[in-house]
Amino acid sequence: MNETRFKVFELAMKLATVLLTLAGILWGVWTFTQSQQQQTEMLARSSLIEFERQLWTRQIETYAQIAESVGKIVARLETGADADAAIQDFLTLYWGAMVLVEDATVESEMIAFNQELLDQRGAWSTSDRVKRRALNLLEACRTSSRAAWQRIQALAEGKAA
Amino acid sequence: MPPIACFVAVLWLAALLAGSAKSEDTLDEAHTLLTGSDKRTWIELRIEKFMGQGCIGGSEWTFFIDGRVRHDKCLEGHLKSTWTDWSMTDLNSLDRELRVGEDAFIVLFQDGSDGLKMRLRQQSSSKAEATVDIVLSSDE
Repeated sequence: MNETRFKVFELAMKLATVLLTLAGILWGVWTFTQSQQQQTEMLARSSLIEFERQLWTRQIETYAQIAESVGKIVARLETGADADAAIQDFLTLYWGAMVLVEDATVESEMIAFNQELLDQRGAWSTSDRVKRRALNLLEACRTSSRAAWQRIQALAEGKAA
Repeated sequence: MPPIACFVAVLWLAALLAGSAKSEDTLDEAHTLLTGSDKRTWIELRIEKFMGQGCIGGSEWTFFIDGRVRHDKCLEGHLKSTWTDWSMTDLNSLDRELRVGEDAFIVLFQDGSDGLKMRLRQQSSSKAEATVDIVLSSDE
């Protein structure tokens, strides 16, 4: 009777050992998978942050270029000097670098400024209106770059995906 | 400064101002430019009338001070008139909106040597799309 009990106990112990080993393996696999997933997510997020940061830097540089170009145009119009070369520089940015970095509001202000320049040449506008459009455009650029920076900060803090 | 230089400078300034955009700082001034004291007709393309109701081409808008606007258009040789309402509001310090029925335009006036003109603009919000301008001349 005792021998039978012992055999049952021994069998139960073996079974428990196998089950515990299996559970341990499964736990290890699950932990490893979770850790890998977390690492992948962190890597993806830091890549995204890095990408956004590079884009933001590029945006700031381009906005600085547009500010310089717009400033030149306004100054030349104010003094009655030839603004053709400065307008040409503006148009190069208008159809080029700005397209890569501008948001919808900045695009809208770029269009408005360009139209105001055309209007000024066609006697539908004045240098004063051009000046005010320039200020609107640069204000939109400032708001846009600030919003982009806040987006990067939110990403870094994990507030946004 | 020699007198001839002064004369040239005055001529240059006069020429510059002659074709400049009409300054209408307040909404009331813009209303007055649009309708005159009672009504004002603006010609997109002059309607050539002949033999009573007959006509060739053309489109004209008459803005009344009471907020109505009549659009006369020559269609298939006959003059058709439609009535709608207009209103004007300031969108910001630079842009003034003129609503004619369901259509909205950015309006600007110009008082040049060739008379009073009004430009109605449908501003594009994308660089890929063109901004549409309609220039009308005052019938005065």
